[in-house]
Amino acid sequence: MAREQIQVLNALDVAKTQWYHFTAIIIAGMGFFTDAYDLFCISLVTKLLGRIYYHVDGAAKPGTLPPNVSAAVNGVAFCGTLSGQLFFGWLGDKMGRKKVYGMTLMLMVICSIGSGLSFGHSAKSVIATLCFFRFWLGFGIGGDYPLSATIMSEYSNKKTRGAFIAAVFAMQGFGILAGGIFAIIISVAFKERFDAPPYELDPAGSTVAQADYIWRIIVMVGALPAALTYYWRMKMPETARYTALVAKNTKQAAADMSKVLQVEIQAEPQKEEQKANSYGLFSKEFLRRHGLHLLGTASTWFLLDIAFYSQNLFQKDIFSAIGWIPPAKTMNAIEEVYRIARAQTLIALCSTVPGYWFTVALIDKIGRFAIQLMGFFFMTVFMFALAIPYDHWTHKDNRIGFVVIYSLTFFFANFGPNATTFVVPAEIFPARFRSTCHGISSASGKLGAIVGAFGFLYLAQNKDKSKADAGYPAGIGVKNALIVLGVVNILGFFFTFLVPEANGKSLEEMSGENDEDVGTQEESEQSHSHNNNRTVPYV
Amino acid sequence: MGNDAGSPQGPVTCGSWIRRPENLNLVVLGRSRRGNSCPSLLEIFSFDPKTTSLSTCPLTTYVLEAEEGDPVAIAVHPSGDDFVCALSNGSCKLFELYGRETNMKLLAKELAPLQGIGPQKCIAFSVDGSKFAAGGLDGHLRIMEWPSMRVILDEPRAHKSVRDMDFSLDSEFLASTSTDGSARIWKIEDGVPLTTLSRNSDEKIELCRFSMDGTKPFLFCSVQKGDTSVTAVYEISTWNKIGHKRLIRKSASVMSISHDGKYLSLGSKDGDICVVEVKKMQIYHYSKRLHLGTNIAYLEFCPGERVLLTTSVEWGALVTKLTVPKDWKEWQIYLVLLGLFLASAVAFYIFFENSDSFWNFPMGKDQPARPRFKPVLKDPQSYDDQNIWGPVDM
Repeated sequence: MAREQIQVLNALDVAKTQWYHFTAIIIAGMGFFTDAYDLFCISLVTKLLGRIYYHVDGAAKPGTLPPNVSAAVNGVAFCGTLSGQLFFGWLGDKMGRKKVYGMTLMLMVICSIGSGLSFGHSAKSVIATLCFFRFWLGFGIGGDYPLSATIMSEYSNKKTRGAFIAAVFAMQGFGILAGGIFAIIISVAFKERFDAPPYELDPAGSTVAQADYIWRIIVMVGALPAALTYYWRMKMPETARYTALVAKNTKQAAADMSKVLQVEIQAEPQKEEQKANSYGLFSKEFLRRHGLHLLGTASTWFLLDIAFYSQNLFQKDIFSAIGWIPPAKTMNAIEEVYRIARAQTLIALCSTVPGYWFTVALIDKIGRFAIQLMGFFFMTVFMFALAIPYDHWTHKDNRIGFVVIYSLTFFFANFGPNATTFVVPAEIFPARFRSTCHGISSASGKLGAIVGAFGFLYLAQNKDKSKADAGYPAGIGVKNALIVLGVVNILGFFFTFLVPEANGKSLEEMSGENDEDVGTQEESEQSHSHNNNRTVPYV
Repeated sequence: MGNDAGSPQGPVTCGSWIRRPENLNLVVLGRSRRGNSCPSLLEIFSFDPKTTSLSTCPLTTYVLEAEEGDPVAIAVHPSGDDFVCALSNGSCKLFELYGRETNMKLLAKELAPLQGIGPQKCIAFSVDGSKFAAGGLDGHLRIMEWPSMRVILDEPRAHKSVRDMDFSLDSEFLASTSTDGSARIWKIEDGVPLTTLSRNSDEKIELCRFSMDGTKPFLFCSVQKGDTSVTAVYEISTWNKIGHKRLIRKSASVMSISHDGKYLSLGSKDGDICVVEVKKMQIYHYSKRLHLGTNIAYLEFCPGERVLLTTSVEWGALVTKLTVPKDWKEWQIYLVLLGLFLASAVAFYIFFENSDSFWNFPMGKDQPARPRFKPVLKDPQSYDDQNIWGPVDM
C-alpha cells in the first residue's frame, strides 16, 4: 500500500500545487471516509440488535430483526442520502460551499450521536429512534458526498485527474476498514470483560446486559471523523480560484454571460458554434449526442450499486451460509459481533482497499473504459464461480477457496466500476449539462443501493421456510441470489459499451463541444455502430 | 458629514474600507490640504451597520507633513492590519493600525522601494495579500511581492499614463488601463505582459475589474464609445470579448465589485451610481446624483454588508445602503433545516404510534428494551465475582 501511495504522490508531483493537492486529498477524502464508516457500520451490528431486541424465549435460534425492520435499519440511510443530495445541492447554489460544509458535517455529528443514544423504554422506541437518526445521518451524508467531489474538481488537472479523483474516492475503502477494525477492538474488549456462554447452552445469558453498549459505541464513533473533517474544512482557506477554469467550464460561463449582454457581431463560424451548442437538456439533439452516454453512466452506476451495496451490507449472511461464521446458536452475542467484524475487515483489507489503490495507480494509464469493463467481467466470472458450484463451497474443507474468490469479487468491484462510475460522468458530458448528468447518474447509483439493500435481504433467505430466519418468507437461497447478482454484473458489462473513453482527453474534446462538422458526427456514429457490431460475436 | 460647517476640513480625496476581525468594518479617508489652516489628514472612522453611517468623530487621525503633500490613493491590505497611501509628493507610505477600536493608533513607516517614484494613480493589493502593484501617472507600472517588496515587474513604459488596474481573484493576472484607451494584461508570476485587450478604434477602455466569483472567469471593463459608456465583458481564458451592455447613463468614472462577486457597481462623472447583479447584468440599484453634479472619485463595496462607500471632492464621503434583494442568512438556513428535522420527527412519531405490525416484535407491543436475564444468584459467574470480596485465606 505504501508503494501505491508513493505512486499517487508521484502522480501529483506533476502538478505545481503539490501541497494543495495532498491536503485536498486528505480533506476531501475525510468526507468519503466518514460517509463510508457511517453507512456501513450498521451492518456490523444488525445481528446484535436482533439478539437484544427481538429475543424470543424458547426459540432454537437467537433473535433476528424481521425482514422489514432489517431493511429499514439498513436502508433508511440511503433514502436520507437521496433527500440530502437534492436539498444541499440546492442550498450550495444559494449560499456557497463553505457554509454548507458546516451544516452537513454538523448534521452528521449530531445524528451519529443521536443514533447511539436511541432512547426509549421499549424495543419499539429504540429501533424507531435509530431509524429516525439514521435517516438524518444519511441526509447529511447526501449533502457531504457531492461537496467532497467539488473540492476535488477544484484541484485536479488534466494529466492526473483520474488518479486524483480516484484517490479521494478510495478513502471510502479506508472508512469501511476503520469500521471493521473498530468493531473488532470493541467486541474483543467487551468479550474479555463480560464473558458469556453460547446461545444454545444459555439463551438468556448469552446476551449480556452490556452488549447494548457495543452497538451504541460503534455507531456513535462515526461522529469523530465527521468532527475532524469539520475542523479541517473550516481551516481551509477560501479557494481563490476560478473554478470554472480548473473544471474547464469557461464555455458554459461565457455562454451564460452572453445571454445577458449585447453580443458583438461575430464571424460566421462563431455563430455556427453557438447554434451547435444551443440545444437543451433532454432535447432531441441532446438525446442524439449524449442520450446513450447518459444511459450508460446511469445504468452502470445503478447496476454496480445493486451488487456493491448488497454484498457489503449482507456479506455476513453469506459467511454464515458457507460456514465461515459458525451458526449463531453456537456463539454468544459479543462473539458474533467479533466474528462478523473480523470477516468483513479481512475482506476490506485484502480486497476493497487494494482495489481502490490499483485504480488510483492505473486509471490514467490503462483508461476508464478498460478498468470498468475488466471489473464487471471479473465480477461476473467470480460471482458465477461461487454460485454455480455452490454446494461444493458449503463443505468445510472448501471454504477458504470460497473466501478467496469472494474477496476477488470485491477487489474487482473497486479496481473496476465502483471507482470508474464516479469518475466518468464528470468527464464525458458538455459543461452546461455536466453537473446535471452527474447528478442523474449518482441518483441512479443511490437507487441501486436502495434496491440492493432492500432486495438482497429477501432473496438470500433459504428456500425452506422453516430454515429461514424468523419472520422471513422463503427466498431463493444464497446460491440463486448470487446468480442474480452475476446477471446484474453481466448487464453492467454490456452497458459499459455505451460509455466512451475519457482518458487523456480534455473535457471539451470528450464531450464534443467543439464538434462543428456534421460529417465528423456521422463518422463518430459509424464508428460507434461498428463498435456495437463487434460485441455481437461475444454473445 | 464631510462638510460640517462648524469645523472646515479639507476635501476628501480618497478612502477605503478596512475589514477588521469579528465582522467589524472601518473606513479610512484621506483629506487634502485646504489653505494654511487645514493640513492633510488620514482619518479612521467606524461603521455602524444598523444605522448605515460612519462615526461622527474619527477613531484616530494622522496629520501629514506639508512636504508630504496630499493623499492620492489608498490600498488596504486584505488582512486589515495596514494600508498603503500614495502621496502627491511622489512617495508611498505604509500605515499600520494598532490597538482596539477604542484606543486606535496609526503608525507610519517608510517603504524604501516606493520613495520618490512619482505620483501614483492606482495602488492595489492582490486578493491573497501577497502582491502589491502601483501604477503611476507617468505610465510606470510596478508589481512587488508583499511584504518583502521584491520586484516582480518594473516597467517604465507600460502605459502612456495608468488609468486603472486590478488583480485577478487567483492573483495570476493584473489588468491595467491607460488614459489613451488601451488595456494590457500582465502575467504576475513571470512578470511579463500577456496580451492587449482587443477593442475597436472608437473605443477607449477606461476601467477594469476582475470577477470575484470563481464560477465566472471574466474581466469587466468600462468602455467609452464616443459619448456613450458601456460595460464590456472579457473571458479570461482567451481574452475575447463576450459582449457589452449599457448600464450607467453618464460616463463612468469609477468601478467596483463586491467581495462575493455578486454585484458590480459603477459611479459616474455626474454623481450617479448604479449597482448591477453580475449573473443577469441587470440594474438592481440606481441612485441619481448621489454626489450632485460631481465626479465620484472613489467607490467600494463594504466587505460584509450591501453598502457602498463613495467619495467626491465636493460632497465628501457617503455610505449608501443598497436596495438589493437580501441574501439568505445562515440562521435562516438552519431554521429551515430544523423545521425539516422537526417535521420528520412528527412524521416518525405518528408512524411509530400506528405501526405495531411493522416492527413485528415477537412479544407484541410490550417487548422490553432488554432481554430478561436470569436471577443474579443463579449465575455462577456472578457467584465467582462475589467471592472476590469474600474472606481471604490468611
